[in-house]
Amino acid sequence: MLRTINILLVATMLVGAGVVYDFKYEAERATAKLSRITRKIEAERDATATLKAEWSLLNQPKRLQDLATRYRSYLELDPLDPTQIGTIDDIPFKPVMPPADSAQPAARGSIRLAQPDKPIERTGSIGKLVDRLPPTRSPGAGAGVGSSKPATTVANPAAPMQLVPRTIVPTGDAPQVKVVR
Amino acid sequence: MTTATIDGAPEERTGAEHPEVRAARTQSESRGRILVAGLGFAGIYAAIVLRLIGLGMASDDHTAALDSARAQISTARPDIVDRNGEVLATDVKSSSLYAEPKRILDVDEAVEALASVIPEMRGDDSVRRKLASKTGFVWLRRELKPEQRAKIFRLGIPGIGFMDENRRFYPGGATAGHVLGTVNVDNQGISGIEKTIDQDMGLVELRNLGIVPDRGIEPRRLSIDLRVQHVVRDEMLEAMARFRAVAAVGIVLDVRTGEVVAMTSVPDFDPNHPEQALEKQNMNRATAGVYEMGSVFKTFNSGLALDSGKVKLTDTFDVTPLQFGSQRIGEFHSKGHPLSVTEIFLYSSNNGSARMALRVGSQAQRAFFERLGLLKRIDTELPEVAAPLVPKGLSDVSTATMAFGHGISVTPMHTAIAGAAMINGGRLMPPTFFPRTPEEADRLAVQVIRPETSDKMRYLFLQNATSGTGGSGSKAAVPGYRVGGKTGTAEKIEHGHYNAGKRFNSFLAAFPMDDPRYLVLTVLDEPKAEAGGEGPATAGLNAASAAGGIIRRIAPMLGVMPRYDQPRPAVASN
Repeated sequence: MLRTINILLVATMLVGAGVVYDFKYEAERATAKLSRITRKIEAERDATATLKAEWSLLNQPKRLQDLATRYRSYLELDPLDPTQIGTIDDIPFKPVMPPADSAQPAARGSIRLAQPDKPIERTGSIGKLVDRLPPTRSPGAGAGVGSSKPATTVANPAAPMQLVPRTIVPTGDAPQVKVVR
Repeated sequence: MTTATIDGAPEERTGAEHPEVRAARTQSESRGRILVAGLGFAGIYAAIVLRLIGLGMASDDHTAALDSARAQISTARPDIVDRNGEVLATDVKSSSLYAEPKRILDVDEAVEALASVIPEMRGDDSVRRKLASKTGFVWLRRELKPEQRAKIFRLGIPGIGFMDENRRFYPGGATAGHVLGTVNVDNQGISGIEKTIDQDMGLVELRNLGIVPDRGIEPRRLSIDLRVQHVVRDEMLEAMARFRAVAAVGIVLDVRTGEVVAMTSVPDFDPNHPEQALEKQNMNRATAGVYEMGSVFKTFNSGLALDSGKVKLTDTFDVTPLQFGSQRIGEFHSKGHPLSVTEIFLYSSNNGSARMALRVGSQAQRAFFERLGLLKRIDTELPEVAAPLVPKGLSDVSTATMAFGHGISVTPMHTAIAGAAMINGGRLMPPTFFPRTPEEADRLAVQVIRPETSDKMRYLFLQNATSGTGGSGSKAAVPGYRVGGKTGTAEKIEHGHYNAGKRFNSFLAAFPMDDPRYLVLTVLDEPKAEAGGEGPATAGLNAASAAGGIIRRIAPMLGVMPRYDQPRPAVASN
């Protein structure tokens, strides 16, 4: 009886020792792996910091200005003039040349706008565009923009997405851009 | 034999003892021995256990100590970024190569191996000599490139090692030098915002306690816009060269919040080379230099006069030279007839301004300047701020001269911040180099003039920079941006006398005048007439054109839309 218990205890002890050893070994390995990964992260971080510094060095306004000046004639660059600044409202719409029922697909980018039977997405810039349809457009909204007759006539007035181009009529030396704020 | 006698002796003695007594004595004796031995073993085991525990704990301590030792070489600092997140200052890790010559086995082999990565080392005798010496430690090369470090590491030369160091790096170089300041060898901020950050975050105290902040500290965002900062510096450098000035200052303020969007003072220094900051000519003139600002002060004088209620825009003043004893106030552009307040501002009449100030009174003028903060040091984050020089007593002479910006010396930043209060609806707030929301600005703002007075000031500013009104600042006009401004041409004092040949020119501008967003102050120290240019070295020709150049370039960056539908305000008179 006592003998069996002893054997059992010895066996338990051996197993316990083995398991503990294994745990310990596992933990050591995990620690080593952890420190390896930590080192790697550290190295990556340093590399990121260095690359960031390099990026901002290459993007310095001074450097960009020097480059722009150097290649000015080659790339036909000129400093921005205030008259060249406008908003999306200043851009005349592209005339919708083919009627809406034409089989010919609309040009890329305006296909969405040229589908009167589809529900209108009133989100983002599209919604903004919808707001500027002929009925809602206030006539003569600004200086420099002609409120003259549209160049093309609306093919189907019921269609919501028939866009009317606005023409810019330069008046003497007046700036050609109008700002709607 | 001896043992026998010794053994025999007690036996002889014990022989007389009773056997039972003897047995009891032996038992108690052996019990004592067992106890002692047991305690001894227990002690030994306890020691072993303690040692094991100690060792178990120590392995962690050891790595931690190593890490902190590595970090301590040069502590990490937070990155500084501009208002759009562009890096202004950052830490880069650089590895330095060192050798322990004692541990080097073969000098020739080591040199040959190193030379395969760094070719210059082959012909370098000093490297060979260093390695051949029997010292413990020598630096071989500071700041290795990462790929060089990796290659040398892979060579595995015994006795060669690396030390990682944090080095502060400013990608913009001198662009924002005066704002950022410098750090010392230990990566501690010693000037500019770098110093402020150290104090703010208590980095100095932490370091003194031996605590090294972990890396990955949140970057500090400034109110500076790198692009605008570059433009201002570029334009001021150009103006300095064009008008052969000795120095130039440019400041851009957000008038709604008091944020400094750009501040430059040229000649300046590159914070990557901190020794340049010590040269006297490279000082920060924008906040640490005081000057008689000249006619720019007529802005504050007009604000004072109009806000007092004693003077209206249409009131006229005599502009014949005032005489105070032997002193006589000169008139720069004499018109020969009394001028209205608007005209005094447009033609920058000294005597008209002096008479306006005298009507309001010395006391009121002093109180007004006090309110505008022109009499004390600016309260801002930059450590380099100078105190203004103000006449001590109140007298008619000083009141008259202070009306056109003489006899009182303030920093350009004082002028900018007080100028912002004149046009933003009368709200004065301390300038800041860190982002500030309009709500925070509202809490800090002090109403210094009535909003109606501010409206009149806007009108004067816009008039002055509109061509065709005879205003002195028309050179600054940029079509579409409704620029307004006031010129200042002061003569510098040399040996106690005003020297007409040495001038201090400034231009205080703001745009867009219908709803001012940004203020631009340009200052040129001792400009000369432009070679082949159109006239004398007046602020209207040099400082104003520099301001115009700045506004033309920065307005699109700052999101100010050009407008052309603005009706020109009617000319007040004439």
